[in-house]
Amino acid sequence: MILGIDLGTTNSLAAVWQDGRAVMIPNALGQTLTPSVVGLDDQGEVLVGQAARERLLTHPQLTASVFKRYMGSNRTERLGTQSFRAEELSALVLKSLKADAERFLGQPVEEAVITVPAYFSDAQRKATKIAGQLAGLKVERLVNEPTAAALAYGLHEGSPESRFLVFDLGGGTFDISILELFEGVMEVRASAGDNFLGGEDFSELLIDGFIEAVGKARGLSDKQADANLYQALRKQAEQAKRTLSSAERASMELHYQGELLSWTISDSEFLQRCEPLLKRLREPIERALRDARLKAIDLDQIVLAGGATRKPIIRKLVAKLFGRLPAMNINPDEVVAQGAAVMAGLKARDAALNEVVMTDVAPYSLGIEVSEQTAPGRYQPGFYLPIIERNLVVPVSREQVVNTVADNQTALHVRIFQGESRLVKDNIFLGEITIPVPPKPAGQMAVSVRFTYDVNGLLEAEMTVEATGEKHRLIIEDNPGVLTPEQVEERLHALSKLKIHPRELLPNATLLARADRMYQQLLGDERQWVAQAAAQFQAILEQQDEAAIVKAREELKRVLDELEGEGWL
Amino acid sequence: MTMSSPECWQHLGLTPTPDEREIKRAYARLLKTTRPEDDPEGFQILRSAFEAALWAADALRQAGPAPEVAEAPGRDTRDLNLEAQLRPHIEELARLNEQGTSEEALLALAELMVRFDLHTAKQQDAQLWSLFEDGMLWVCCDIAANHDDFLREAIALFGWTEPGNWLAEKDARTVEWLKLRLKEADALSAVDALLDQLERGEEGDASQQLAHLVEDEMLVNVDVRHLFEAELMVGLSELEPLPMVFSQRAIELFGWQRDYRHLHEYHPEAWERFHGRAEHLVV
Repeated sequence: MILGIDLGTTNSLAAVWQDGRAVMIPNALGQTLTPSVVGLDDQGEVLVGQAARERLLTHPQLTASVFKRYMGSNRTERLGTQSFRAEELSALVLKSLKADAERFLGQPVEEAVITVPAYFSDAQRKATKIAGQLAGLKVERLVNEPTAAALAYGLHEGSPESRFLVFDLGGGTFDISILELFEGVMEVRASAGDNFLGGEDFSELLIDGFIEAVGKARGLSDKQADANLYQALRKQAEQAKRTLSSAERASMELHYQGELLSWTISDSEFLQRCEPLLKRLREPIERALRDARLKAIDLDQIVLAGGATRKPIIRKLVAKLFGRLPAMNINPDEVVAQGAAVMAGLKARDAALNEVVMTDVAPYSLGIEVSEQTAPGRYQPGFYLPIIERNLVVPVSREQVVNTVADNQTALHVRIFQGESRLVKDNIFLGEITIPVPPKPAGQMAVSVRFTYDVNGLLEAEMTVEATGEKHRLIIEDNPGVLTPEQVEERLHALSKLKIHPRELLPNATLLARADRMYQQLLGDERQWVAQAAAQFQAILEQQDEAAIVKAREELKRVLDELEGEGWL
Repeated sequence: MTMSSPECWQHLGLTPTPDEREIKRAYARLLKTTRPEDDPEGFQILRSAFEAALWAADALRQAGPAPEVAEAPGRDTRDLNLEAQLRPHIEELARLNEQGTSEEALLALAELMVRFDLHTAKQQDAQLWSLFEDGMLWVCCDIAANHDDFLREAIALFGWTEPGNWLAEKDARTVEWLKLRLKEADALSAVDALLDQLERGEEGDASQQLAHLVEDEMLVNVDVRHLFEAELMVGLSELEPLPMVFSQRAIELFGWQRDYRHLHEYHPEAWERFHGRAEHLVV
């Protein structure tokens, strides 16, 4: 069984292709969304999901979130005395999803299809594959998130021919893909995106607004200075964001140095603050449409994916941008995971999907550094020569011929980059190789550079010295920010030593973490109620009577729900 | 990898055709046995053949005649008679939209309304009114160069973009398209106003106005904004001398230094003219 996984910035989900359809997998709490939050509990055991999310507030030093943003970089996050890379934290989330799937399916799961933002770079993709490996999963395929969403929609629609645009705004990333569906072929025409734009940025705006309006006057000017305060503010901001989806104003409150700071923001003020973020949504849309040579009016449907598209301000903007209402037939939180399950079904050659073929594109250009003549006989390095232009259908292979620039040049240094900028310094460096060439006068030694890019986004470069026919190959495998195979082994070993909090005890741990978090937030009588209810529950836990525990859990949940107005996910 | 025309048809098992659908069908059939993940080399050849065939088909379509539309059967004599009487007038409206001024087209429309007493027909002669409406819909949707004011007048006359209009039921896409055209018409008026300001030498005011427009509700729609940018560029390309401050502002506000393909595609000569003179502005 191949597992389809949406490894998100805020939440992660898993689904499988079963009996001709995508089936969502519930976690230990019976929910399909598992918060992408990892922490260590007081015993040093790993907690993943809602329990860890509750502890973000009470134990920020032992908890990590939004680490997807650091995939493909060397940044590490400290949890207590240990430090973890984004791949490792992601691996712990994947492990938890894998355990949920194994429990649900009653069989071991060793293979997965994982979705990544379409605009994820080479290094970020490799880091995602390594995260899978660290979780004990063979990553059969990486699929672009909007493509996955389109796969789910394409099958759902059943209309023989259509063109649609997927607007995918997740917790941390923004992707646009334009697809064409014909005769069972799902063809991605173009993808574009922004790797650092998502729902989390809207929360940050509210935090900044709070600090500006009421924090600064009380000496609170750096939101990151105190991890506890920051997490408390983030929680408030998330609640305010949700409130603003349906109400005209929302408040944020924070206990700071014995004082209750409170700030109210109106819907229109929030909209105004969002302007700069909303503007950033336009560029990828324009680029994708131009790459696909289409006008918005030519599209049959606008499809929404990603939790942030639930926000009314986003939906209103989408309607205005495209002059029509977007489709919302599939839950935007689940649509990417469903598509991953479809891809897993395709990969497993499921008979129900025999007539479906998907083709995708390389969302960014790939090229090399070249020198340009700035004056007779004077060359300046640093210019970019794209070899594979973005949005070509993959797999793809393209070639360019370059020449030596100096007399009797004996070596050619080929540096490979990814990106769209004219100067290589503004693009992402992927790798390099030096190849010897026979000495000749300047410009007379030609080398052809062939790039081959496969369906998983693996790039291979082949340089052929035209005079001698000598070939040199370079497979871009270990780029900066990506672990080497030896390092992966090392991390696997380190991760295997971690104790994971038992899955069947997660509902209890989650509830207690929530009680702790609420105790910290509340005051007075309410605080005492939480303390009492939690103490009673803990006492029953110690008796180890399963029936009594279930009953007590329901009771504690009821008390907490009542205090919070609603269950918050 | 590029492929010659005869070769691509052979790969797809087709004889040369302008029919895009036929090409897609052949590609889709072959794709199911040449999947990109299983046979990367085979797929790349198939893909090249597919793309080459689409280009070739496009060329064939542009060279060949437009397909004839079949006459709908079962129409009564009055219907055919009325249509024969209306047709030359409708065709004249189309011609005036393409070659005449907006005033001439509107005047001809008013005369037509009087000649056939169409105001009365609207209430009392559904058959005549619907033939007239069909003809007008053709002028508005199929004549690419129709005048904005003519379009506005027609949409107001028939209420095509109003909720509950028959057209919304029958052809929602056409309604969407007409709504877009109305918005585009407003955007084009705004371009004209800017160019007038520039011609009067009020470059500072025009630059300020442009900065306001960029934020305006009217330019949120991606297609409308696209057309606005393109028409503005064409207008600027015709100004002598090029208003430098304003052009600089336009380049910055719309990010033309980043991506100007839509401008180039819209009007290659105008873009060359504009770009040639504004190049030193494009950093």
